[in-house]
Amino acid sequence: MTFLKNKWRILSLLLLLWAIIASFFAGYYWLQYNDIIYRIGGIAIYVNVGIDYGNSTRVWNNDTKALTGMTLFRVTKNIANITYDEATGFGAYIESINGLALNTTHGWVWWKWDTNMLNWTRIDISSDAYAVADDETFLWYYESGWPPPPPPT
Amino acid sequence: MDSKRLAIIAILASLSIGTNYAMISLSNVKLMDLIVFIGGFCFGPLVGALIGIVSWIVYGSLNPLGFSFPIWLSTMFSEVIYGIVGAFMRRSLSPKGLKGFKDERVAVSIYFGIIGMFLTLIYDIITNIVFGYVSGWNILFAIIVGFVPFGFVHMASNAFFFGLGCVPTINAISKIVGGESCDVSEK
Repeated sequence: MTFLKNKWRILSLLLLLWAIIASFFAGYYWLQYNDIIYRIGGIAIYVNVGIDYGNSTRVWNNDTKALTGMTLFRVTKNIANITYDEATGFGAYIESINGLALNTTHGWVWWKWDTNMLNWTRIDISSDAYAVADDETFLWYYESGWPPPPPPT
Repeated sequence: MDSKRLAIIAILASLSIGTNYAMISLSNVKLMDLIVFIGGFCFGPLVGALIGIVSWIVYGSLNPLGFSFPIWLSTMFSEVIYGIVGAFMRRSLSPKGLKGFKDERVAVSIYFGIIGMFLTLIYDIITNIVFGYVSGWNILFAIIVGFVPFGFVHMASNAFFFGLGCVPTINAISKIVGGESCDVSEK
């Protein structure tokens, strides 16, 4: 490179070009991604949802299709007949699942399987405030007591 | 400005306009940028800038793809960058640099290719900003969408044309014109 006064200048220019071009492509694909997400409503993910009626009957809906950003409430609504009350001020309060309604002693509590601790974990927010992620496992458990005891594994 | 320089502006601008119309079906693939750059490199910034302006006066106003006054102005004055930078690029070469054209042909070609890409990037950013302003788009959105794929094609084609065309064209011009301001023909 004897024809140049400073060969590092051209190398810097090349690196700058690379950075700018890469940034533009990243920006382009980010725009495309957002556009697709906006149009299709989300990317397909799959979750496992179980319903435990508290009488040793546990029904699993494995690989239930959902979309990114979808709440557990919506996923449950797609796989079961539910009634709920939104007037409690704590989100959608589940009153019954598949005809089994809460009463003075029993109610529906949702649990999430902790893949690290290998146990059921209660997340203390309403099911319509929790956005599910791919491959997560949930269990609706009809139970009594407070704090609610975890369901049997 | 002497008559020789005026003739050079006219000839190179004509060549630029002619190749633009000939390549109209190839979006963003044009020899104009190379010709303007060569004009600036060989004959100075004023000649290079005028080749760009004259080319766009004709090609921008009689363009089958349409006409937009702000975009026309932006392309015309952005094209000037090639000519002016072409002139200043010569000064960035070392005193024995022009002789190195023969010895380091591959390195020189890569060098001109990188310069071509960089100038095209600046040109595209400026014109896309104006396009975004005219069309009411978000400026960043206009820059990004304008870059992929059209800006990238523009950059890649100019890298190819500059890399492949600069050295032989500079040598040819210097031999034909006499090389009074372009000593790359020195043996």
